[in-house]
Amino acid sequence: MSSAVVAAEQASPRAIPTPLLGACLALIAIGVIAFLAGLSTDPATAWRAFHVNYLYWGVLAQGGVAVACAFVIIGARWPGPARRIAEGLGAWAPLTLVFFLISFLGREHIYSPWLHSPPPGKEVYLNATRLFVMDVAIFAWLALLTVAFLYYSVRPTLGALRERGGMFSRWTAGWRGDEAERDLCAARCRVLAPIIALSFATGWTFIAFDQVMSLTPTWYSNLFGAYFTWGGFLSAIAATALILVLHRNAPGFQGEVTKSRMHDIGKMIFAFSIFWMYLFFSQYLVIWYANMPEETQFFEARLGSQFMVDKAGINLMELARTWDLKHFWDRITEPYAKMTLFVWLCCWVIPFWVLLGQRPKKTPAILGSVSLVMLFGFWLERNVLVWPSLVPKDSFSWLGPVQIGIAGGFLGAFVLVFLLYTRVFPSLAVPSKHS
Amino acid sequence: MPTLVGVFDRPGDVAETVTRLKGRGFTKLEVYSPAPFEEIDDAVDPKPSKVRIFTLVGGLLGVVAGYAMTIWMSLDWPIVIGGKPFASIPPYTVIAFEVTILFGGIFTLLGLLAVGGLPSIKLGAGYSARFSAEEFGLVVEVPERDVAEVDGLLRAHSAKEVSLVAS
Repeated sequence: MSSAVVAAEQASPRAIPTPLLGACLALIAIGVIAFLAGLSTDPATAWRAFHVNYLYWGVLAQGGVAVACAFVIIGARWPGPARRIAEGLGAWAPLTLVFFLISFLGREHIYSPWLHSPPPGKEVYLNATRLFVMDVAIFAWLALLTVAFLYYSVRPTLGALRERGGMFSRWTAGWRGDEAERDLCAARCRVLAPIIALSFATGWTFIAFDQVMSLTPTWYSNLFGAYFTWGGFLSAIAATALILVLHRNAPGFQGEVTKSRMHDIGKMIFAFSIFWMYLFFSQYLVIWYANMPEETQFFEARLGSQFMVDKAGINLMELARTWDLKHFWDRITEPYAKMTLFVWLCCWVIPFWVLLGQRPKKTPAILGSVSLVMLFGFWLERNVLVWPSLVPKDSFSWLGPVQIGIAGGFLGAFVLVFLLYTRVFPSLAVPSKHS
Repeated sequence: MPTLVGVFDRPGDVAETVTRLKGRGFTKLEVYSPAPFEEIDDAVDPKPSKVRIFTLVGGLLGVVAGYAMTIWMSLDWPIVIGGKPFASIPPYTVIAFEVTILFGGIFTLLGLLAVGGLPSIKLGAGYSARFSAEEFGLVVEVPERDVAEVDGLLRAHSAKEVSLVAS
């Protein structure tokens, strides 16, 4: 980006639109009530729903920071406001530490499969002290990096607000002038970005091992952490695309959400959803082939045994009978299996076929809808990774007033934090004039 | 029909001239450019390239061929391996995936040659070696009575020279 273009990027604090603020506060209130009501009637369900939602938003937020870091690392010139939106998602990331500390209070219900009787030989790793120390360290390290990155990313845009006093003058302490600040902060961001990218991948891999994979304590997969973390990265891109599309007529954004920007972010969703499915399949294939009970249990609990024992293939007729839609659908009877297929539909089938062409990627309504479907799909996916380990028989354990209420509360809180960061705090700067 | 050749120095001028000429109804035109320029592409043909149809057909053909080949082979010469059925979908998905990419790639290359009319052995009448060095050439066929008008239009859009190559 040329220096003249960056110079135009100045922070402009705005008020949060009142209806949105009201909706967020109402959702948070519903969430808190649902959680407290759940704690008194069915604490296991309340804690598990809390666990799922904090993981979903936590990895999404950190994924947003990772997306912004990716833009910095490769020196991307196309994103424009997309980078600021991705950073806005990251405002939630430091809070993940707080939510982890809360969720740890419910460890009796969340880590029940191993908390008191870990599988023999895994006691050293699967114990509450080790989990607590390690995961707090990971979240604290990520929070520190995230705050530093956001600070250096935003600081050059604050020049005009120095005189306002208060927090603005604290953030701009030791101002060296527009040009020098821009160069220095850009250099700091370039140093931080690769560190954050690596910490995100490694850190969340271990969070996924500790807090999701361990719920089926006899199962393990080295790929699981990468798969989970990649889902977070992809959902952050979908969230960025959705927010970008929603902002296309917002003040200060006119002419910024161009067709070529939507095309580019659409391509990211398209390509990375294929990679997400690929990560799943590469693990599924080897487990299907070896067919060892200790490995297949995780898939059987989610997809049902029909994906593990292939009955087809004696001759063509039988192959057709097994895989034609009616017979295929009839075989999907085991708990959670239809839900898992629905996740595939939302996170891969729909993005793949809908965003295959050039025009759908450039159409705001289509790109936004696909992003929304994906975000919902990933929320379901987090549920399907957690619940079957804890409540194996009941397909609808994830659904209920308490669970939905808690999910709503998290949604409201996340949107509120995003708005606070991008509106009151001056991060969503007047965007650059750059195509 | 007479053919006029305009020589330009900047791609922006070429794109603008092409748009103006097409607006006036002179659609039989050819542009020679020393390097690819997006604005010229958009001016000459704003529609997305047809090559992508070849890629789609190749990819779909590939996925069908990948599954068909593996299933047919394992049913034709049935050997039980690892207790799995003869025709199993999961492992053959890998082959279907690879053949999708292979056929998609080959079809894209063929489509590129077909749509681009390559290889092009015979050069057009208006071509000059300068257009492979650093200048841009705009070749346009115009009816006899419009020669003067187009000549003026080319010059008005910063063509540094205009010549009549055939009539």
